[in-house]
Order: sequence, then structure tokens, then C-alpha cells
Amino acid sequence: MTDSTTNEATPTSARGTGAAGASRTGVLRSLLRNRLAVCALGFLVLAAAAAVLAPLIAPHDPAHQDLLVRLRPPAWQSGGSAEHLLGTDQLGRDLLARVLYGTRVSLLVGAGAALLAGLVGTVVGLSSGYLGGWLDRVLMRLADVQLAFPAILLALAIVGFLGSGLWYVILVLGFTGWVAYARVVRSEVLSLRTRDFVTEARAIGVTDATIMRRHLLPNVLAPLATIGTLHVATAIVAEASLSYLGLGVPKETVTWGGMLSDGQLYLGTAWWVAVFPGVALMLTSLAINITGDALRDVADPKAYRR
Amino acid sequence: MTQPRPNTPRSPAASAPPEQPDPLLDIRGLSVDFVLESSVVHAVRGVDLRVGEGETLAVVGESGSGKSATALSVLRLNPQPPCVYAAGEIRFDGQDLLRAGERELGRVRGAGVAMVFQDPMTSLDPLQRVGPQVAEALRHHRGTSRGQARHAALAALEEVGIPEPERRYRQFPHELSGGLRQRVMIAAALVVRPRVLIADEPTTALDVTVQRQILDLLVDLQRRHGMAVVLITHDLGVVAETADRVAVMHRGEVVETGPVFDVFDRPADDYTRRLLAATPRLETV
Amino acid sequence: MTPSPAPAPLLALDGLRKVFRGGAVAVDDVSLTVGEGETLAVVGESGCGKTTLTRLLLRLLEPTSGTVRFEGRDLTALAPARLRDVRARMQVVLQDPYSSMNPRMRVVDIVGEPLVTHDPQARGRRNRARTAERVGELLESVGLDAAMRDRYPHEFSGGQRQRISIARAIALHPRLVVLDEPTSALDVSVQARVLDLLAELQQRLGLTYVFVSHNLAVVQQVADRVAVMRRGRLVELGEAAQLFTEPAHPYTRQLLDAVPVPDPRAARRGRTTTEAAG
Repeated sequence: MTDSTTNEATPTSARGTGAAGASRTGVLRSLLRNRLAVCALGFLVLAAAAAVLAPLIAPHDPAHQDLLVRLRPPAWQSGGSAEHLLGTDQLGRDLLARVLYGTRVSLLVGAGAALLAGLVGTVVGLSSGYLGGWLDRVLMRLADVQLAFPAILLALAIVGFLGSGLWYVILVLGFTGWVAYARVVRSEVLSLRTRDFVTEARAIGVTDATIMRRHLLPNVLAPLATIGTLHVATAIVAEASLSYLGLGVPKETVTWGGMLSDGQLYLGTAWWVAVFPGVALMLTSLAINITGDALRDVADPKAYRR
Repeated sequence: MTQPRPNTPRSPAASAPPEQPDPLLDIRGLSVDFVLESSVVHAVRGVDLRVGEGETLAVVGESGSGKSATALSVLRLNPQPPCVYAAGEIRFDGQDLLRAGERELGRVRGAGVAMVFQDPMTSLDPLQRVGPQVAEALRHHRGTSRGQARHAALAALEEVGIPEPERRYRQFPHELSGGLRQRVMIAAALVVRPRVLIADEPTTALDVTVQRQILDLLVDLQRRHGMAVVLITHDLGVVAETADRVAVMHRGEVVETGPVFDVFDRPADDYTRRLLAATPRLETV
Repeated sequence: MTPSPAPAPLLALDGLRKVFRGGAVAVDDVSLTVGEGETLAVVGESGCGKTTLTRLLLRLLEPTSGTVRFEGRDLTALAPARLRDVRARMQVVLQDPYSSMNPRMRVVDIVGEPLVTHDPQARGRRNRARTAERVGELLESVGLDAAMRDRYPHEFSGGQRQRISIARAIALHPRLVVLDEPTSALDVSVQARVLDLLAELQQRLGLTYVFVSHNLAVVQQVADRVAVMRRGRLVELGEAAQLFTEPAHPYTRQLLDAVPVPDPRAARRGRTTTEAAG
């Protein structure tokens, strides 16, 4: 090579390492440097493990009723027993088992809704931003309509028409959440599409679909991952709200929202019935939000500028 | 400063320069480091530069040569961190700017040394009208009254050749062309009557015909006010047009310094020779 | 204007006009031809329409009126599939070596992109090794190491990146290469070497260049003919040798006079001399 790097400035190479840091291993390393984020991530791993292993680690069948031990307090309170570590609810069901099983629905709904919304939003955002024209106008008006339409109302309508169920909840939350993704992706794409590497790809004759997949999508993944994580938390809380209102999953399925709804009647007498699912919900959504924030901080190239 | 080479006896740094007994701005042994996460970049390594009243010193070099970091050091404008002023001193008017307190430095910024940057679009506040931005230095550093500052700003706009200064005074930066914006920046620098003007690539973002006008303006203003001008540039053409003396920088060091005619006629350093050879020149005859 | 001496020009623009939404006329009635093997430089100041002109002749933008003929065929009337075929023979190198490459792709995929796009033989996992080998050859032909193909763009200097861009542009043996300010972002010493490379490739591969630049000194080095644009219009088109010594249009004269001369004596000739300092 004749073009030695001698003329190239040290500041340039410094910029180089900054950009390198933003890719893959760098993201992970920076994430690990943030101690709070590590704790949050650890909690989420535990929660995921609990969800997967619930049938193995739960001390009881979460649906098993035993009216003889109804509304037992947690083990450390007087009247509590090691048999039911977190106590029991009004039907004598083990709260620990129910919180563990509730993790399954929460994480499934959160991840499912975020994935679905992300998929729809990304496709809409990519095509809207890159292809532009009438398609862009139609899709963005659609987004406005979607935003103006209360999600709860949509949920009511769907539950009314289709009946309740886990998959309907995911569907409702997925289809009400896509707008945020679409907007972010679209605005990223609007600035990316005029970048020289997109122009060059077009000049080479690369098809639009390939440009979107090869050149645009990888460059919007970082902001996508960030909204995605935050959306998981929103969706989990939203599912709990829907279940609390009785619009979520059927009563037979254990959910934190459903447990909250059951427990509120006993807040004065047996606080544990509502508090434990509430704490689980709060900690999970907090952990996800912290992780999401940390992810945004490390994925934002601006954080690397001097 | 690099060790003065045996073949550069005219280098003013080598011995006491007879033509400049008392430089207005005197940079000695300046070293600037940028401390990054995993490494330290020695951007400026022992640079000696001086410029006297009424003199134009061009600092020429390619990207990464340390010329801008040197220029920004004078008013300690390098972002700190990551910048560390590792060694040296910058004497202006008898005081060392590298060690001056914030208040003294503020005084120097307001009156002694002014700067003009490459991109007038980013150095002007897009949400503020042009005129008050020109007057700002006066209001801020001198506490001049609003009316007087406005008067001075209008005079400065007129002096830098902006037609209809009254109308331009009320306009926003985006309403001006690139050339006009650069004139506004020069006016904002001039309004405090600085003794040293540091221009960091002032014409790089401009078209050639506009560049020509701005260079002519700088030369004209310098003669009229007898300022010392430090012109940072990568363009040897710009150097040839404006400078009395040249300092060639390469990898953080001054590799050659001398009167402009000498450096162009008989470049002593190999890098200067290569730079001159690589510069395309227009043959119109 | 002087008609091209070549019998059948490789590229012919006729009455080309582009009006953007909002009424701004970016390119106004531009007609010119580019002969096989020559370098036509397009010069002008910012906003003169030279960049829009390149986008029109590459048909990345739709002209408002006028035609672009490449190899005798009207690109504006070509069906998308045929247009893609033609694109293989007209390539582009853009100014900014930092934004002209997808930061998330390796050099092998960047330089290999035209190959993969136009040659089914280069696609798929099985042909990866062959494509990589071809990319290695291309990198070597622009003065880089074949082994550099596994790196990412940010690991290269500006000059090296511009070489990578050039390697990509010649990957498909094009006939026409549009160079849009290919050296404007580079330091002079790097610029000189990139210009040398471009000249060598032109010779070796028989390339035709449309070289867009605002730097007249560079244009003088590379151009056979020069087109001067101002406010969307072609103000002068002529042989380089003549245009630089005897410009016909006053604007061309003005442009030439404005260029700073890297010679202190010549530079000061016109100026009132006050040799106070030094």
C-alpha cells in the first residue's frame, strides 16, 4: 500500500476507536461498567429463569386451592409458615408459586408485544422513510390515527369481539405500540437515505429492498433496541392494567395484574396478597427501564464524542 | 520546538530574532495532550511560535498536524478534559495565558485576543439576530451600554464590508450567505479592537471567489489596525497570499519556520518540500 | 459549444433541466457530451448545480426535462430492470470518505457489493471465497493490502477509504466513472496520490471520467475538457488547455483569478505592496 497512514491524524484514529467501541463487544463492556445496569440485568436474567423454570421451582401448584389456609401471612409474620413463604391468597393459593408463574405471562406479553410492535414499526418506518411519497403520507396519517385512538378502547373492542386470551393481549399491545418504533425508524432513515453510502448503493443498482435490509436496517438497530426494551416494561405494566380491569388474559391464567385485582379487596386485612405481585411488577419494569437507559447511553454514538 | 536543524540558520527560534525583539504573542515549548480512554494523543509537542504587532503568521499543516490545537490553546479553548496542557507557556502582554486565572483569561478573550473559526454556521447562534451577537463581546467584557454597543457593532459590520448594516443587524444567521456570515464573525472579533486575531481556517468552508474577498478583507483589516494575525490553514495558496512568516507543522511539531519568501523559495525541511510539491498550482499563463 | 470530436459519445446530455419542488431550478438546459476515454471536468461554486447534474446523469434523480444518453440509450426512458444493467457500467465515487461507506459493513462486503448485485456467480455462501478473492485483487489494484478486506471502514484513513471507494467503483469494469469531488476532503499530499491512482486506472482500464470539482488547480491536472457551471447553467465548455489560458466567459476569468496561488511573489503582484514586516 502506498497510502500510508502517516498523514492521518491522531485525532482521526481516536475517532476510530470511539466508533469501534460502539460496536458489539464495546456495547457489552460499557454496559458492564455501569453497576446499576449490571444489577438490573442480573435481576432480569433471574426473572427469565424463574419464568422458564416455574414448574420446577414453584413450591405448589399455583391454581391449587386450600380454603383451610386462606389468607395466611408470609412466613416471617406471626401465623405464617415455611409451607407458604409469601403467604396465601383468599382461596388459599400459594403466593410465591403464583408470583413465579405470573412472571411467565408478564415476560411473554412484554417480549411478545415489543417484538410484534417492533416488527410492524420497523417495516412501516423503513418503507415510509426510504420510499417516501404517498406511502409515507398514508402511513404517517395512520400513525396519527393510531395515537389518537386510546389503547384501552381498542383492547375493549378486541376483547369484546374476539374474547380474552394471552395472544389477544399481545396482539392488542403490539398493534398499539408500533407508532413509536415507526417514527424513530423513519426519522433515522430520513437522515440515512441521503448519506453517501446509500447514494452509492443506488448508483450501483442495488434494489430498494436490499438497500433497506443491508444498509438501513443495521444502522437503526441501536435506537430500536432501546425503545424495544423500554416498551417491554410498558407492555408488562399495560398487561397488568388490562388484567386488573378484567380485559386481559382469562382468570384461570396467573398474572400479576390479576393478582393485584384480587388483592385490592384485602389490602386492609391481608396486604401481602396485592403487595407481592405489585413489588414483582415494579422491580421488573424498573430493571427493564434501567437496562434500556443504559443501553441507550452506550448505543448513542454521541456518548463517545469528546 | 524541534531541535533547530543545522541547515535552518534563519529560523527565528534558533537565535534571538533581530526583527522581532518583543513579540506580542509568544508561545514557548507548548505541549498539548489529549487523554483518551485507552491512550494519550500528543497533539502538540513542544511548539514555539511568536507573532509581533502588524505581522501575519501563517501556521500551515495537514489535518492532525496540531495546528488547530495550538491555536485553541492560546485562549485555552481546547475541551478540558480530554485536553491537558502538558508543558510550555503562552505569553501575551507579559502574562502567561496557560496559567492565567479565569478572570484574566476572560479579559484577554474580551479585548486582547480574538478568534475567527472555520464554520460561521456553527459559531453563530441560529436563534439570535446577527447584530446583538456582534455586540455581545462588548456588552459582556466591557459592560458597554446597549446603545453604544449597537453603534459599535454597526460600525464593525460596515467596516467588514457588509452592505446595509442596519438591515443585516436585524437578520438571523440563516438569512445570510456563507461569505456574509464569515464577515459577521470577523466583525464580532473586531468589535473589541483585539491586538491579536487568530483565524482558524477562516475560508475553508467558502467558495473560491468568496474566499478571495475574505482574504483581501483580512489583509486590509490587519494593515489598518496593525493587529498581529495568526492564520491557521492547510492551503499553501492562502499562506502565500497573506503571510509574512510561515510555520509549517507536522505531527504536532513545527518543522520549519521563516519568512514566507524563504520558505517557499528554499524550503529547508523535507516535509515542507513534499507539501509544496503536492500542492496543485493553477497555470494560467 | 465545441462538439466532441469522438464520433459516438459515451455520454450525451441534451437540454437537461431539473426543477425541484418549490421552484428552485438546480440544473437549467445543460447539454454536453463526454467521449470514450476522456476526462470531462465540471467546475463551479457551491449551489451551481454540479452535484445535481451528476445525480441526473447517474439517473438517481428524475430530470424535469431533457435526456441523458449513455452508450446511445436514453436512460430516462429505460425500464428499471434495464437501467440496473446499465448501472453496472457507470459508477460513482463521492466526496466524503467518511460517509460513503456503511459503517457496519466490512470492506469485503463494501467492495463486493457491486459484484454481488450484478453477478449471480458472486452471490451466496458458496461463492464467498471467490468474491473475497476478487475484492483482494481490487484492493491491491488501488494500492491497498488484500488482507484489509476483513476490516471495517473506521479503521482506515481518509485516503485509504477513498481508495476503497475507487476499488468498488472499478469492480465491474465500468466504462464511465463519475467522480464527485473525490479528493476535496483529503490533505494535499494524500490528494496528490489519489489523483495519480485515478490517472493510472484511467490509462489501464480505459475509463471515462466525469470529474466534478471546485478546485481549479486539481481540475487543470486531470481534465481534457472543462465545463463551467453557474446557477444551474453551463457558462463555458472547452478544451482544458484553452479554458485555463484564455477563458471566454468573464465568470470563468473571475473563478481563475480567485484561486490562491501558492507562490508569495505571484500572489502579491496585484496587491499594493507594503513590505513592512519581514
